[in-house]
Amino acid sequence: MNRIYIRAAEQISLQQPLSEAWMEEPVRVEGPWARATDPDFRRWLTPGESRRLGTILKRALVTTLSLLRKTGLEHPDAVCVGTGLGCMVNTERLLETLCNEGETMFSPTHFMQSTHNTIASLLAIHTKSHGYNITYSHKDLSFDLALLDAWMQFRQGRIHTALVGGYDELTPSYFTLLKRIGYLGVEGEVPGSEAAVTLLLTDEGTDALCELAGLRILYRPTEKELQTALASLLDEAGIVRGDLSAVVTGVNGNGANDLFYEAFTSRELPGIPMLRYKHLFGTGYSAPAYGPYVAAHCLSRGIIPSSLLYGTMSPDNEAPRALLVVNQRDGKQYSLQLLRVCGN
Amino acid sequence: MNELVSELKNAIIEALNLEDVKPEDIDNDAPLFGDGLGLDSIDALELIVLMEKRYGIKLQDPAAGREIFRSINVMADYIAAHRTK
Repeated sequence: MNRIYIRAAEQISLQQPLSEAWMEEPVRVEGPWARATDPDFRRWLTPGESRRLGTILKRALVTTLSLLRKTGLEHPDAVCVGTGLGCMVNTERLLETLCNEGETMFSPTHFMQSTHNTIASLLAIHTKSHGYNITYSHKDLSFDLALLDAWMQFRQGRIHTALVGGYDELTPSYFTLLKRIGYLGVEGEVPGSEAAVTLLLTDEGTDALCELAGLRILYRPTEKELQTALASLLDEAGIVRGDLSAVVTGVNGNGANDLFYEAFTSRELPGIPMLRYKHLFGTGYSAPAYGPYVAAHCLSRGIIPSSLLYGTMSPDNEAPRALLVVNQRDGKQYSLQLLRVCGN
Repeated sequence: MNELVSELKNAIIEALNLEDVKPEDIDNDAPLFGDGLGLDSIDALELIVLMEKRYGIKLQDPAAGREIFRSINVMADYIAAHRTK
């Protein structure tokens, strides 16, 4: 079986863009809604290249271009994208025009960019990566399913390099709707827009950030099923619970949802410290893409920044060796990703 | 006519998001597509929408756009002759 490594991971979020400065100097953001900090897109894209692109597309393209520049890879074998809502700004403009002026008056650009798979398509066209290309749109599990797909392609030997990204943008009107149904906007949360991408490959080389040692996705699992999935994940990687340095959770300040993380960790991984990242990077459908991003950089640098600590337990002072990234929503869907340092 | 030409240039820059282009950069007789302003087929669709929305001109035959969108001056002449608003 091919072993799979995370070679690089990049982000645009509430933190400094295209940077890991958050590890030393995290930007603290208060709700109820924070805008992502964008880099100077003109450094990456000519006005001609960017004139039709909405902000989410620019973010997707620039995070990808930055990643490819860092790694020297030009054309990944696969582009896998997870997005809950796709290009929401363009979708809203299209719908507004349809409602107000009729179906013959809408902009073709807004129409083309109102589909979810616009992002993966754009990345493929711009980077001339004409291989496997797929988009998953399953709310909070979108990125995780894109990652699972890439993982399966790797394990079957069909690909050797893959871009796996999570992208979403929050608009004022959609924020209002999500708040009304109780998905976002709970006091303590930091809703935002997300852009995070990882480059996976089967060649460890000398520069990989960490190994993606395994993952599991479960829908409405019983406690027993969750326990079995975790046990098999660890067994497959040849490690035991005590080898985990910490659990990277999607705790986001929404107590009703955070309870499931706390219950899972205390039941299955007692004594293992919990970490969180959404208070720094924002909450939204694609926020889980920051989970492996954060874990990979912690493993690569051998540190766990204190800004990530959650709960009463802290990791010991040793460099982290293995991190379990857990993403779940309302206890219905779980994603478990096991990352560990290279060289095992 | 000069006023219409100026208005049209600004409308095109806004509709096509031509960030780096100023109205004075656009030659009134230069081709809009290909070598001139470098617009493409998606821009042609945007211009059709612009004509209808702003001037009430509905182009029934998209192929006619090839002639109408030849340059700013040709476009302005067509709008002046056919506008309904």
